Amino acid sequence: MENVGEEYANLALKRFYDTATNNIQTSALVNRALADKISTETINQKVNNQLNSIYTSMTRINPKFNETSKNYGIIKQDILDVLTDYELALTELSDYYDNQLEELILKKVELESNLVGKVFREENIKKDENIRIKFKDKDMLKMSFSERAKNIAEKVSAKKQTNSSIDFTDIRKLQELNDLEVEQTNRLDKKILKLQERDKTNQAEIVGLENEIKKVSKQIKEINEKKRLGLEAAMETREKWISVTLRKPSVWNRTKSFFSNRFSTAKVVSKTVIAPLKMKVKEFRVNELEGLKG
Amino acid sequence: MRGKDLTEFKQKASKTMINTLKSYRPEIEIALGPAKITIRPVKVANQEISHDYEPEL
Repeated sequence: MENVGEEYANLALKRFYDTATNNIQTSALVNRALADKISTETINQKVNNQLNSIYTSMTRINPKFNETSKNYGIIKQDILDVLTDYELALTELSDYYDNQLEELILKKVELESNLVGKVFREENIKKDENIRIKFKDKDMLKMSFSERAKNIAEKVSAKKQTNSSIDFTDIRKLQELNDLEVEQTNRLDKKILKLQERDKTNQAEIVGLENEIKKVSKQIKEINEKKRLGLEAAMETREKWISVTLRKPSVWNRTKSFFSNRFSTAKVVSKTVIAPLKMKVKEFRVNELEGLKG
Repeated sequence: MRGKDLTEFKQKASKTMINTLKSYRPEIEIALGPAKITIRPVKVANQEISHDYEPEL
């Protein structure tokens, strides 16, 4: 019956081990993939918005400017170049956070694996403790002292009943045997106490690990959020350079009949739309990215 | 990291996990008794990515 119980406990532990190790890896991969997902989604959204802004500005400067227009090819290449650079700068920012995230996720893997190990250590200590307790009750040495003391006590008691004289050496032997029994019990208890101490330390370490895991999980969430906000805020200006650019056409509209032949849409787009964005990316790299990386 | 293959990370995580668990191997084997286990990388099931995903140990 005892073996069946032990077998069942082993199976339950084996199942715990498999589930836990599987969960540790899945959790790490999911967290790592989530970091990628946040970067990709936020960066794609920003690049799309930037592209839309450029096209809106271009249409407002000259609604007739299209693929058949002169210099459209040059502008298209310029837009692609500046957007690629813009995306690259954002990716560098996301990489800065993702490296921190990767380290934290791996730290979590280590802590969680440690926790699995501690759970098994706890089981092991308890198993040892049970063996020691059983051993204590059935200890041959202790039992022999007890048995011999019992025999002497019976002998003394019989002599007392018959009013015969009690041998002093019997009393001394009885005392010695009692002392030996106590000594052996203490020795056995000491081993159990030592195991109980180990269990206590292990339990405290388990609680410590659980707290540490919670802390790391919180840090992962915080860095993910910091990254998302950082990416969203990157290269966005309070002056709204796009809207400044958009005001230009209204002035231009009034004078276009006079100046239309002298303006090149491609040049205006390059100067008022692409160049400021190029400058933004450059400033972002110098002022923010390099500052972050130290 | 963006665009990098997740396989590389999976290997890193697996290595970290195995190395840590290896230091507990005697305890794990003793606790499991006759049903001894082999510490090896585990397969990862396809998991939907969600912000709230937090597997319980």
